[in-house]
Amino acid sequence: MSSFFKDMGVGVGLRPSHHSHFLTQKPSSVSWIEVISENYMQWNNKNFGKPFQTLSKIREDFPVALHGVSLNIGSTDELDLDYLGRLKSLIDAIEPFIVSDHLSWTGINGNNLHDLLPIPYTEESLNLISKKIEQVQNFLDCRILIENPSSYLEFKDSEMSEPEFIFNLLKKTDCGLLLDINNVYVSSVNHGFDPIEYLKKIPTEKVGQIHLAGHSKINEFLIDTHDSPICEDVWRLYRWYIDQFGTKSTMIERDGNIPEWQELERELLKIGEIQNEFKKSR
Amino acid sequence: MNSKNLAELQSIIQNAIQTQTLPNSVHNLVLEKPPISTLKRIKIYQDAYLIRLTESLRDDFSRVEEKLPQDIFENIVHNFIMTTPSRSKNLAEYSETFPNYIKTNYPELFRPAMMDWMEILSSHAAEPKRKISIDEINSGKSFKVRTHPATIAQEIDGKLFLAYRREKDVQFYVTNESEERLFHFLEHERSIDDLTKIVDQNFPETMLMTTITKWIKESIIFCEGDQK
Repeated sequence: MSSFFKDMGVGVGLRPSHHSHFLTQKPSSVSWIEVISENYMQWNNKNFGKPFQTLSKIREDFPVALHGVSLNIGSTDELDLDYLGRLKSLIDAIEPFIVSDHLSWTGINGNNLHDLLPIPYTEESLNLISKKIEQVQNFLDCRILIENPSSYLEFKDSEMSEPEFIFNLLKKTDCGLLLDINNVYVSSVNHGFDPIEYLKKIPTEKVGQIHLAGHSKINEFLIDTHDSPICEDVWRLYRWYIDQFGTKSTMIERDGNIPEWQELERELLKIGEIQNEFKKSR
Repeated sequence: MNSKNLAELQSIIQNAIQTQTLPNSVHNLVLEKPPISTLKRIKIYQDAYLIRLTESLRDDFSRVEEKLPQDIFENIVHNFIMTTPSRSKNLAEYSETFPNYIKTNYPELFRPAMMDWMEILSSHAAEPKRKISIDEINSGKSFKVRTHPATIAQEIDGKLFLAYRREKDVQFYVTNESEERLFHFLEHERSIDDLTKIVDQNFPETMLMTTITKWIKESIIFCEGDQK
């Protein structure tokens, strides 16, 4: 099935510890980068800072995806127009090929818990979020991707499963999905569902990008910490997904215990190998 | 569920995370899925909230941390988090509110707290776009003198402290009285003519030349090429 989104190949979540490597070496193992939008936006009433200047230089050689963590799309609060204005300024300056955020809420009444909290999967949430996605896309004048969450609790009031909710959301709006395969795996263990059945329910033509990452096991939970290499189960899920639905822009997120570039690069090369195996088999 | 109920749900969850409590109302919302209890499921979010904010403040306020035994530092940070919910879009902006909290509650720690915050601002500031070199000045290019965007000035204990970025590192400088007046004069862009005019106004020529040369070398101020 054809996709709304171009396959950009292999990318990486670029973190400051690898900035100088990208500026000086321009690694050929990745064809694009993703950055956390909030780290490059203007701070309150201030101009763009040094991180933005660094990103602008890297942007000369790499297409950029902007990935946000504070859109708060699942909150009953109104959209924060100041935040959207700052995001729009960044978009205008960087000209990313993708803008994304999460299917979650981060706070209400103006608070920010700095976490990606789960929502109840109800008709009311669906209506609220689809309306807000439309507002965001109109404001930013671009289509956005929404990422499936990892979670540690579910709500009694949910009227549908997470993949059903995402299916309905993608049907109701013209946004795309940032499919985080590690999140699917983490939630499948924490809530006891079959991750393959989850992935089968996702309309693949709406998947604009794939995230891979590592997680940690803490007591009975898997926690989405992004601080370790990708585990074999997540690689298996990714391989299954590519075999079923074809290649998509794919990247690795690493936010803790960030290794030397060469070590991260070995994992990135594995994505390329999986994608090439699929292409040869067709 | 109507949106009022969704707002109620979010209010209950937010309150449980911010206050680190587990009211009965949470049990009515969260699906009980043995063997993991609701308490443990909520605790993941409660712990993540405290850990994320604490670690961010620890990273940003190392001078304050160095002044205190670890448990006292953690106590102060914990009290700050519990009394000052974040309304910022990123964690760096949340740190901005910490020095004033310290000033009110632990005034003896205000100086290191403010120096830590000045260092963050200085590190984050952009490089000037039209900075010109001494060679360009010598070749006759016209310019203005300005404070560098990474120079952050703040009065602490009655003295003007400057945080400035020299290459990658942030340095501090405490001005004397006449340097303070000169710095405030240079907070607006100034031409050579402007500088010449103040030589007689309490700025001896040697002091002016020495200080300006030193500050340009240190990147406290810089020469900006005229746009024309």
